[in-house]
Amino acid sequence: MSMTVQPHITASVGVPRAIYIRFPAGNQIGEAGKPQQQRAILTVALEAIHHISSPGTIVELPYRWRRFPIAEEPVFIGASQGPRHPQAEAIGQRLDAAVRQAREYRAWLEERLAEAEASPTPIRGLNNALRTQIGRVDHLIEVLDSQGLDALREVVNSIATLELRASGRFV
Amino acid sequence: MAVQFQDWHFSEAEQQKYRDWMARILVGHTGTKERCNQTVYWTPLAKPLSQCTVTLFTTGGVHRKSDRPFDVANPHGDPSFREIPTAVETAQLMVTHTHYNHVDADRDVNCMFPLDRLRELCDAGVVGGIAPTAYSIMGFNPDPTRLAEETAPELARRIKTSGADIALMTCG
Repeated sequence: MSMTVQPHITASVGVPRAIYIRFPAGNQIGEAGKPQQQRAILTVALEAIHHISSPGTIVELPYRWRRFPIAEEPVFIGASQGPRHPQAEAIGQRLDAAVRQAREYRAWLEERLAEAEASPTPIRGLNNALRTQIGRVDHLIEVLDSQGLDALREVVNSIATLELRASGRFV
Repeated sequence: MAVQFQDWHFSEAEQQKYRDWMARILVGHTGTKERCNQTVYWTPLAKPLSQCTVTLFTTGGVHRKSDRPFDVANPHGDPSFREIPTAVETAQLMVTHTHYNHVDADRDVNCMFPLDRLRELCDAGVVGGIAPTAYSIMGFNPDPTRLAEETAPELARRIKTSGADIALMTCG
């Protein structure tokens, strides 16, 4: 079973079974010093084996990476000396906030739809329109929470890797 | 709560992402060769996880501090592998790799090579056992010919004869 963070490469190379996690390279099992998180991810990675029934299948985990680039856990304060990118951290926080707001908005639209469906005096076309718009909010959440977060993670992690390599810390 | 697995689809956009990446590294690294598996083999797993022996394999450049480090100075990479006894204390492991950010793994190798976590799962009965040896390579190999023709078959042979039912591979 392969754990991948670059499924386009894994799919091209060809492996029997793979699990894709939207975490940075080097952090597929999670964050440093978080055994509970690591144990949960390792467990689902192993359980995924029985969910895959044909060669070349890649399944995706629903987790998202929300630290930019490497926010230190309290036990490691001052220990990592990892490069910090304050602007990117701010973008990450705002993306998180936007995703939360989009989810709240979606929940509100669901309530609105339930009300409309229960109404004794339905408005023609409203229910279908609400369903369509809920689908569009789902797309918005996907763009923010997957594509946006992925792009930010890749940019920040690539630059952090270059910086660390240039600083000679990776020897 | 059970985790929902979602099938990942190799869309045209993702295929283009791969072509763009390959085009970049063909230019960026001397001697790069594109090499993909022509056949994807399949071994069914008939046992429940709780009866399986598991080992770890990583391309993340993990090795014992007492081992010869991977050659990260060579622009052509290093196709060699290291054995990691699974009874080793993880504090005795280190990472030699210059192509990914392993600041976290330097502090806690379990975030990419989860040996302590695997032991806990074994103690809890989630998996049946741990094979005596895990394996590691350093994934930077622009020309993967030796990796594919020498290292990979040797590692496959060793893992198979070790009694492992599952090899979990993590990357750097």
